[in-house]
Amino acid sequence: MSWLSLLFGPDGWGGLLLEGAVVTILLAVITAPFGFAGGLAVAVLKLAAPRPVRALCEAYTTFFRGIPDLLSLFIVYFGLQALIDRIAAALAPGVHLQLDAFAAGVVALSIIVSAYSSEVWIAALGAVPRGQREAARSLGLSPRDTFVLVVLPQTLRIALPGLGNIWMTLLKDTSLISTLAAMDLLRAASEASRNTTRPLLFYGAAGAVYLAISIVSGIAQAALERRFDGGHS
Amino acid sequence: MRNAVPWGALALAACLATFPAAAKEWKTVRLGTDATYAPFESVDPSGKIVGFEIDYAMALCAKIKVTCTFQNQDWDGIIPALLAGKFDVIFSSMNITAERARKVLFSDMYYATAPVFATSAGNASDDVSPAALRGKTIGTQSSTIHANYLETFYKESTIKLYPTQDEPNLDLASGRIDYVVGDSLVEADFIEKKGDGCCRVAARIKRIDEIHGPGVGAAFRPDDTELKDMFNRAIAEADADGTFSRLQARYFKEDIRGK
Repeated sequence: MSWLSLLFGPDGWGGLLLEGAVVTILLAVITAPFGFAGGLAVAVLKLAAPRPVRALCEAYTTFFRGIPDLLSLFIVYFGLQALIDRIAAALAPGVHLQLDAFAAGVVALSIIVSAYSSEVWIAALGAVPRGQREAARSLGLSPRDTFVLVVLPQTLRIALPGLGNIWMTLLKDTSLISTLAAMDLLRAASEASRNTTRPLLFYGAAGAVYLAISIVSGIAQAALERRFDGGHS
Repeated sequence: MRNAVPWGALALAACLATFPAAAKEWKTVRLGTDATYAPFESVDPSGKIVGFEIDYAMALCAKIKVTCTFQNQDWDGIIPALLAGKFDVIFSSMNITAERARKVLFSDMYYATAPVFATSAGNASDDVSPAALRGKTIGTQSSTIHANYLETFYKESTIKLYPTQDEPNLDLASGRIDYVVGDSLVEADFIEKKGDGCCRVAARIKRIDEIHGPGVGAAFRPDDTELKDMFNRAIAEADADGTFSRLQARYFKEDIRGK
């Protein structure tokens, strides 16, 4: 079979690759809000919470930034499942909660992205000039409004390039769920290459799709940065 | 893998504590397989898991009158996943060995095939004795009977272990390794797909009971004895009514029942 019909023919693997790409994008898009919001929460706790909480947050980021992302995924997929089973057995016997590969991916990648992005958030929060906060308070804004209306928008502007980098890493880290036999883009490509014995064609095609997603994200990121720039440049 | 056992035991203890004698009612059974093993189990272009063992397992489920679903699971985590409750039965060309039987419960054997040595088409020698293969590189899938066989008898060869059987096959085709040990039918499938005078079977390996065991069986969690008995009855029925012969004729030219 020609490479064209292997990809796009009636028995071609292009469809499975496309479905895989959808899984990859969905996983990244669902994970990102949890990961970035989690990272912001951890950053705020690290800056403002009582010392024991701060130490806990520090331990969390040190742990998940220090171990391989693949290992974090395995801890969630196998370890968390065992924990869920034990809790379910104790509270509601007979109920079986399944953490499938995709859900495990969302949980594990959110934990990882939170850990990494908390550092970006801390740096960005620190870069908002102190005077901004003081000015907001002297205008009579409540601490909450000060944070949401004054500090956060400026933080976001400073954090965006760093978060963009983490998004790119997240996009590629989604491929880790292929090791749990979830049919993402990488797994679809490896199924196709093992069934046709044509690895170059299908891994090449998968690479092209990852690259296309990255380029589109890059354009979106640039647009976001312009949007939040607020006349700074 | 070792860590998964206490969890299974804990789950068992929890079950026994809450349901002293109640038998579990099976309506749906989730089957796990490593679908990288054509023609027994593989993924087709639509993403569906297909193959001889899939058809066979589904036929057994029909006899038991349970709804079965297949899910894909990589080989090296397949026993931990079973014990962690990701699915209920392994149907994945898993040979019944004493080592595995310490962790899982096996059904009766339902097929047995010969392992083979495959080599490049350009290698004319059929001698695969340990002496002849001294210093050669031999590849196979890790945590398999083939890996055990090589590690037992081919100590003077370089043994390379891979996560699936496809990788050693592709490495043989690209000349990175000299030999592959694998299942005769899986190797035949690969050699046919690869074409272009890539590879050939050099020799069949006689099954040795201590290493290869009696053949392939389905694997269950140690406490699911009733489910195992249900499948054993279905296996016997599929032999008696010709289901097995009919299915294997669809896939193979030889008899693999191994009885």
